[in-house]
Amino acid sequence: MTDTSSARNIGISHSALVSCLGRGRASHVSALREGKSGLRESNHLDLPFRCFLGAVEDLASLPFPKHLSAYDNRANRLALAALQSDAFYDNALATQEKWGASRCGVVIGTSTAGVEMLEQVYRARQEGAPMPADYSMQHHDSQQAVAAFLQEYLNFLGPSYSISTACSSSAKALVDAYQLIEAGLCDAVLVGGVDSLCLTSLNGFESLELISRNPCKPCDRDRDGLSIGEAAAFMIVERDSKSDLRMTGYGESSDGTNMSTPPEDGTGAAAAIRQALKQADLVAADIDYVNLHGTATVVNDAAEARAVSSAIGPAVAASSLKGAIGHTLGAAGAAEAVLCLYALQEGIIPGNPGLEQLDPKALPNVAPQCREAPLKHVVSNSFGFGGSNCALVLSR
Amino acid sequence: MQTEIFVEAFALIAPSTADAQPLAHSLSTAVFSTFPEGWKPSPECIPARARRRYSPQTLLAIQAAEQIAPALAADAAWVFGSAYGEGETLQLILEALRGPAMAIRPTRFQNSVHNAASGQWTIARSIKTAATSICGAGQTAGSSLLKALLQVQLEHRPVGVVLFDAPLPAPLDTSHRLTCPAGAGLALSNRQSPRSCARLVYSLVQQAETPPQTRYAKDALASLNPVFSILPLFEHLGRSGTGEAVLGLNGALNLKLEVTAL
Repeated sequence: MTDTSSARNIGISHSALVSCLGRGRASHVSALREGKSGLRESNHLDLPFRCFLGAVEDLASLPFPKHLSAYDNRANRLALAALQSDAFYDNALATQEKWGASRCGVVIGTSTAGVEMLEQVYRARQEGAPMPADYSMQHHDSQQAVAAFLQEYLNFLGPSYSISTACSSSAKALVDAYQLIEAGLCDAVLVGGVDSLCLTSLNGFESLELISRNPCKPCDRDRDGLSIGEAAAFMIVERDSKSDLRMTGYGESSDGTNMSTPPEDGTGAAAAIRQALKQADLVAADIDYVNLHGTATVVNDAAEARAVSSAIGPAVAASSLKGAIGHTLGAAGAAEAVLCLYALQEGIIPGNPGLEQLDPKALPNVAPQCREAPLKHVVSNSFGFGGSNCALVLSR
Repeated sequence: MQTEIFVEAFALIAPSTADAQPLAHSLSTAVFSTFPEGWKPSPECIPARARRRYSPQTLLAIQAAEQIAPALAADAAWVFGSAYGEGETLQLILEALRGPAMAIRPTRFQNSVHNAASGQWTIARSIKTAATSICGAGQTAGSSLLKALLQVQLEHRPVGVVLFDAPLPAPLDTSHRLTCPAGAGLALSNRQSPRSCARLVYSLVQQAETPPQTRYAKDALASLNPVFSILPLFEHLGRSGTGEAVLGLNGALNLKLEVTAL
């Protein structure tokens, strides 16, 4: 709905992604092309059930900046790993020097931030004991903790805040990044999403009977639930960008019906997709690929298929990448936006890892394997608890 | 590019000994106190018997939202801001995670997300428009208002802003300090209407935050609830005067609001 007449010079200049598939562009592009999955049977955390996770390895060995050690937790280690990928840190510093620190903002989408550290500290307490005096919410379980770490580490001194709308968080963060620049309040914004594996999310989804015992199979006839992953994904959005990668439209809506289950007909999701197309000044036929939210739950995938069919048409090429990296929750919107940018640059329609037999109710043009195809406009869907829907149009 | 933005309504849910109604309009005479023993938020759109299914934080937010909702058109977007989110629910989940089964109640989990309040509000009112949920730690009020101003300006639509935070149960209360629940609502519009009470022009400035002027706001801010950071703006709105209020943001800049009474 934004007047984008002045927004067309805003582009996505740099990106970085860390997930269970690896760190940086090369490992993710290779995995997309090969249809690889990074999901592995759970071998850590104290989970009382068996499942497959998209865990990022070797985070503990990452040197954490000493002057910011108060922020040391798994979520911020994920963030640090992403900063160290694809020269993103250097590019961020160059951006800050180019525009000036106070013209560079930070908007991060996260669902749980560093709550994993709070879980550890809380569980280690004796029954009835107070929280340790040195535990700091500000640095760990505040939803702002990752954005605060990034602001201090990179000296981006423009506005900094966090969007926390569950699994749509970091898709919506991209909207804020564009708006801050379009309104003339920032010249560049570090935007992205970070969520780490944590007991709250894993046991919570288990309580809803939504965790699969196998690697998740989005769009499959026999899909039976989620695999949870973790990720950090960042983009630098700036005005006068030399990059040809753009967010050309977005749409946001609320289901207004249920906290955790979308309406069967996917009307809320469809409304978000339609808004995004309208804002991008595109028609359904212009869309070359849809990155599905595709969590692999029975109800959600079916509702999303109806939404996409209704707003774009059933024939559009589509796939879910949750079978590759798991559902990275609050990071999913940004992580999958970055994967879409890779797809746009490479000219590939990513496959749908985990798919064996397409559900007759799924979109028919979902294939397990990656295909070569020139892409100009893609839609990326992100939906979250609270009936929070966000669709992005990413273009090259 | 700058757009005039109009304030259609503003509301405050916070303790006061004065019988001044509504509180947000009478900060200059109100006296900050504590809520009566046993006080609980009581939004009208949630039946009394159903309220036990919601956290105090969510009830507080919904009550603030419904106070400004009549001033907003159906196409309004919603921005909910909270520094501490669903802390009460979080503590219950953390306690459950101490047990070997880690058995979390499903409804508790779905209501633990930061946007539980905005989600429940959209469900209670069948709202289909955009709703977001923002945390900016101690600067959540300014950050949420900034987001809302961006939406009014760039999306040419009204926006409801809801701020809420409530004390957490032990043991989280020692690391998540605030001593008083509070909620606030602000209805903004891109169009002037007969109910418009002020015009706002906003910018980012290297200027210190406006200190509270009234005794009420000074005492309220001492309770450490980040919601009360909005009060320097409400003081202007309640006085029906012209002036400026600077609200804090994270980073080197703050949010300046030039207020013109209508």
